[in-house]
Amino acid sequence: MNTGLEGKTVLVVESVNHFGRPTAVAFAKEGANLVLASAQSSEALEETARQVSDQGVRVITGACATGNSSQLSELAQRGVAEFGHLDVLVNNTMLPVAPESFSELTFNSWKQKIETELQGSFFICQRIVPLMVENNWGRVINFSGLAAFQGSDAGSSASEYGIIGLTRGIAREYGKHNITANCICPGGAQAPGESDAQVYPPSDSDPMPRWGKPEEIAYLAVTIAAQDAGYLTGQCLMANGGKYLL
Amino acid sequence: MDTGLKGKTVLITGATRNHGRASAIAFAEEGANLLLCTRSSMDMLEETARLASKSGVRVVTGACDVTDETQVDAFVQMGLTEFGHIDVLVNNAAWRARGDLLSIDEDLWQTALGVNLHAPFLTSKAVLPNMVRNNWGRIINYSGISPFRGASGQGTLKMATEGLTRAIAQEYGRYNITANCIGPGSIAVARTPGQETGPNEGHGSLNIPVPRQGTVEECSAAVVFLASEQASYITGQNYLVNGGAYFH
Repeated sequence: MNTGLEGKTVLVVESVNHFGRPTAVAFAKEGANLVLASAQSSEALEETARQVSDQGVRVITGACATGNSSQLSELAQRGVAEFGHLDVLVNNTMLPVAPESFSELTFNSWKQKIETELQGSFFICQRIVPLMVENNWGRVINFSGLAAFQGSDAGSSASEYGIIGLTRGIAREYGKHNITANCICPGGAQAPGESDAQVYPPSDSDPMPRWGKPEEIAYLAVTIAAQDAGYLTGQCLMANGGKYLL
Repeated sequence: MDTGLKGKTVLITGATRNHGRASAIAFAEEGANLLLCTRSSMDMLEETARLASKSGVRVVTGACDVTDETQVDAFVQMGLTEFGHIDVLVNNAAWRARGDLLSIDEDLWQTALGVNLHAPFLTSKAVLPNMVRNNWGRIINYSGISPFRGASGQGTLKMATEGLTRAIAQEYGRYNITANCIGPGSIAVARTPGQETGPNEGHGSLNIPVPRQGTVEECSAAVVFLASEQASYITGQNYLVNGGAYFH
């Protein structure tokens, strides 16, 4: 399949944790150049960059605090200066927290989760989407998850479902600029190095009673970004082995 | 139909007009006592109280900024002192994140986030211990049409509210506490200047199966039903009252 992604510029927000690294590598395999952000150590970020470079594409990196739209915007501008355009946003903004019962969850913890993930995502998209409007082409790929659908700890459920709302809003408002916005909703896929905060272990009653693989999530991101996925917008791609049927 | 709401206490935020006032009157007609608040429009709240009181129920009003944890806790404690129990929470207060992705600034976002999402978090936190103690409760939040039509500001916050609702539904069903949303479509309401429906929010067309705007009474009927004894097995849902504008 020719994805048409060769020479495109892909910004991966948090390219170390969650599905950031496998997604970055998957885009590199399609010949896209990468702008990689992370709040993790520079060593971890450089490891993603090394794996990306191994595919023969160009890459720039920058440290960005999780959910910090200003830092990310500066990095994106560097990407535009380097590569001439920015085409794909993989918004992997995640603040993993240990799930707490609602009665134990403090307002401060709730706010931290919502303001980092949901508000952070809103303003990240606000900063990055105009770069796509300039070229009349773009792909926004957000990450949500099973908590949005099943109900889990309140912060995750609210943030993850809210990000779907953001995705639909961008889809509606920017479709006329050939910008699509979609959401990947993993559930039960094991991210490399993921903490045990948000995992859904396989159960015998699941349609697919096994863990999902990181590359099965990364593949979806590449598929959504492909040139020929231009009519797919505002949707959730549920990658959960059939745990939850939309 | 006996809704089982007689003698229950219903807390409604932002009950000054529109949906809030209609719900207050509808609950009063079912014999429920009311605990009503507003941030700053006490005159209008007192008018709601006067109208609801005609049904012979007790109505207690107070000023409360529902985005302020201390004020919410104090208001709920006052209500518990007055009534002994709070059985139904209707998070009606709202602030529209009007506009599209690029036009919503930090100030508008913060205000809308506070009223639409932080407030239901705070009020739910405050009333749930009493509901658990009574092994009965209803929480009703407001979503809308924006999640389906797509609107970066409104849709994000309304869907986040639905997510919160689902989390509460998941955790508290065992105590006979349900949590649901209602999702009004285009409803005839008075709006604060600057809070009108935005051009990108998809409310404009009434080319829908029921080709007219809805009324607040048509929404409050759904709210009363979700609060009723009969709705005890409905939880984590979003009840759409939109004239068929979107099928979900």
